[in-house]
Amino acid sequence: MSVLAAETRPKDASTSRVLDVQGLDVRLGRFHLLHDVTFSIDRGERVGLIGESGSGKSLTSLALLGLLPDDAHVSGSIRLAGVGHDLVGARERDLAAIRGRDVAMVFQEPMTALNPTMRVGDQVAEVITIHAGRGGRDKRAARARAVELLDQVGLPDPGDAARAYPHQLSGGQRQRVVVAIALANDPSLLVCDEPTTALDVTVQARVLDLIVRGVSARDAALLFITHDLSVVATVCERVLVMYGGRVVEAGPVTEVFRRPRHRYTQGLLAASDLDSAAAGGRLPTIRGTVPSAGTFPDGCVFRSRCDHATEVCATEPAWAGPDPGNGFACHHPAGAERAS
Amino acid sequence: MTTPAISVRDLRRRYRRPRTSVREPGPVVEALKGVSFEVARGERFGIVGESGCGKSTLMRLLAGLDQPTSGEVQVEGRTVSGLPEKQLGFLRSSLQLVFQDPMGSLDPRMRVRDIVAEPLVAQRLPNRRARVAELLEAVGLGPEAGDRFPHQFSGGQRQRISIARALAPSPSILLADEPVSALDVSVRAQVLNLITDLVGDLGLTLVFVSHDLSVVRHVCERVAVMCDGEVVETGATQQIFADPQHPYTQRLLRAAPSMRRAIAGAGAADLVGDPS
Amino acid sequence: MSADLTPRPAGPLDGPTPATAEATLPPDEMPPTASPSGARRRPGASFFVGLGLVGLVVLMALVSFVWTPHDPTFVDASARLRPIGDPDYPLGTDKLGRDVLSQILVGARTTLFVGLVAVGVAGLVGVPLGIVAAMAPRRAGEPLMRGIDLLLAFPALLLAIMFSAVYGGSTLVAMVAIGIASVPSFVRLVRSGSLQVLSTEYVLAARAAGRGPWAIGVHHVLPNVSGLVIVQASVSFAIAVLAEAALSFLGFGTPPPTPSWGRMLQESQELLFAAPRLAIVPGIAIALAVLGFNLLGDGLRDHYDPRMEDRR
Repeated sequence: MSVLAAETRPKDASTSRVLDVQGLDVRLGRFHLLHDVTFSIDRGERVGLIGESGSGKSLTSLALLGLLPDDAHVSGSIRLAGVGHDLVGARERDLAAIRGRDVAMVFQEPMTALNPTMRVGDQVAEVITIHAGRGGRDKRAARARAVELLDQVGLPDPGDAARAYPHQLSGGQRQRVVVAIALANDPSLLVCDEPTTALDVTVQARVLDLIVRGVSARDAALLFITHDLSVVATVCERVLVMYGGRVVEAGPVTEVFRRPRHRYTQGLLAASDLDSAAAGGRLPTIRGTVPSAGTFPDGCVFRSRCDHATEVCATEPAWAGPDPGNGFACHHPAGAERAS
Repeated sequence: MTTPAISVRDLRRRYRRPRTSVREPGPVVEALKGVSFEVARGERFGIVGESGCGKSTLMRLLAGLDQPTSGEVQVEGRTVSGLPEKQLGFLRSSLQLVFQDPMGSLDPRMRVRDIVAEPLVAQRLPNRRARVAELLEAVGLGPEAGDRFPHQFSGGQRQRISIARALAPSPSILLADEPVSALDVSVRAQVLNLITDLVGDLGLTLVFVSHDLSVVRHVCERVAVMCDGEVVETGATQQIFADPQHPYTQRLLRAAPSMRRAIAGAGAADLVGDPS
Repeated sequence: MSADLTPRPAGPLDGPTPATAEATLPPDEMPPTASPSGARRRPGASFFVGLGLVGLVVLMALVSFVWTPHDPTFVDASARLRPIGDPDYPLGTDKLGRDVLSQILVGARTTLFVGLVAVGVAGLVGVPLGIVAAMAPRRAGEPLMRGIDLLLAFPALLLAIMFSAVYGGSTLVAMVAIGIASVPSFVRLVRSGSLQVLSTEYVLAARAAGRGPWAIGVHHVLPNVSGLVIVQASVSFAIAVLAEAALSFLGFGTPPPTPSWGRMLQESQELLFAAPRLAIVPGIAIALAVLGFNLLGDGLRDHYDPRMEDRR
């Protein structure tokens, strides 16, 4: 595969921070869906966001693109490098100008992310011309660039592929097109929401490789959302663990996955570690299921399923750690007995 | 030698796709290109493959829900393939299925009690009420669950209902088609435990189809790897995972992300392996 | 929300816990943002407006059985062409001195009767045919559907006029004809809905359980297409009401003296400029009834359409 070349665009060079989310809080109707979510991503950094369905991870990604429903109450702040204003409370026109240029997204379902009535080359070219400004709306150049991008994401015969309609491509090829669209304007932040969940194992491997190479070549920040712990471990350097609309643990991948501190992280790792359990034997489980929105307990959100919960867990655990990107929020953390 | 639970000999299945051109008939797709294997009684047998490899077609043929183009399926020594539905009564009581989608495999308009009792009604088995309560308890749901509708349950609970239905006619063989692929990680472990417990307690033969190698490795004793309508490799799970022979199996194993390898420093590029 | 440490308030599913203790859980309470298929959406405004209009027609028909201001068929030569607002005749009288309000009230009966017969015929024939067409082998299903297409191509009103010519003009004959003409739309809709149901895993599971085609048709397909049928029924009801009006207007529908909104329109023709109210009043009645059934159908469609259901 060719090296994914990127044109560098002048960006705010004073800091390497690309995304800074502070105290993000989302309410929808009577449901408090995100609580005080705080994290940041630096240039060239790959951060994983893990959690089960209903944990709020997809909601977080939608908030980053300003795609939350209109009746959602959002507070806190989301700052993106190269954008002069806060994304929270920004006008739709301003957000539209940012989407696809400064921040781009790859969704789970490549078929629905593409327009079925439009040739894929035109769809790539479209996102280039939309953000090109008045001077750069050269359709021919955009189309040539689209073919170039399709070549970069490893589509065979990119010239022919550009003239194909989405249904003429396989699932993996479609997801490559979606990645090409996302990377077309060299965004400073790429958000991937379960980008390979619908794909086969061997296709997933190639798409993951493609995403990692794409962001590395552009020195872009990556927020990778998935429920698959081993995918996060493979792709990312840092990880945020979400449960009940909160970040319950954060830190470097190797640290968090080797020595989880929050009991939820610990349970999740144990339940997914099929290699260690005896073949055909019992797996460690987390009891119960993820509560639906609005039915998480107060205090520690995990206490209704936690084997270590005590009275103190009815109060909200404070964040223990040097910074929001490194630490956990648990009254009875794993490994505490070792440390003391 | 005792008769195997399932015996498949040179199974082929061709489909004709709907025509896309006015002049030519639709293309013929060969979903199975001569598949043969045997599953011993009481064995936990895994079938691994990616989408389009023919594993779903194979499942339907094993369950007598579709007819092969050629070849033969035998279940407990009796031929299944080529028989009309009326003569498949023995198969309906000895072999049952659990599907992937815990919502799609339960009729949204039926109460759980009627869903679980369906095989009993269809096969005119007695004591339905007591049997349903017993089954719901066996899969870890209270008897009150019977009054509810599927949408009132979470994904993991729905899969338990599906398992209860499959066990209703006391089958000796359970076919599970991706039973945990749609479930969250923490619930997946619960359902896998339930399946392995029940298979052990009831002495069932399990055929477990999955794309997830780690799940198959955990559950199954023997594995068949399918690719493009063919079984490319069969063997003991340990042996196949430790020393895969076929290039496709090797590629599949390498492509599956693993926590252990990742923590040891493997990145996305390592999943792809050969520079293609 | 309780602050104790029990997993959740004891739900109805907390029964005896066997080997798998983590299993017994209360069922999910669904948040409004993620209602799964099966949980129906709350009906919208069009549903309630439609229900109100349909309810009005039903109310008028019911009232007419126990009370009308005058005998709707009584010809009173001394009270011809009274205007709207007359103290004795709130909606006036026609050229023969018959009370318009009374005719409208009794005419509502005809309208409902017409709808019920037409929709009943269409549904009783169309729904089973649709399910059979979906479940039958291709070589039987295809000819059936082509026959249905042929019927669809035949104009409903022409069919009704032919029936009237052969069997004599009566409301019942006209409506059976309209019902037969509505059969194709039921068949096509039910067939496509049934095909969708037949492709689900729960039908596969039922087959694996040993259920025969009849049981699958009755226990799985029929309940799952019932929503579609209800929607189609309300739309067909509106079409039938309109068709009756048109047929009566042409003189092939309800024969005199039975009051019918369509015939009231027809009789108003010659006085269209002298007394336009005689056309406007039944016209409004027909329009509101048709609008009511259409809105009801739309509301029900929002409620039942599987595509409208949120996915998890």
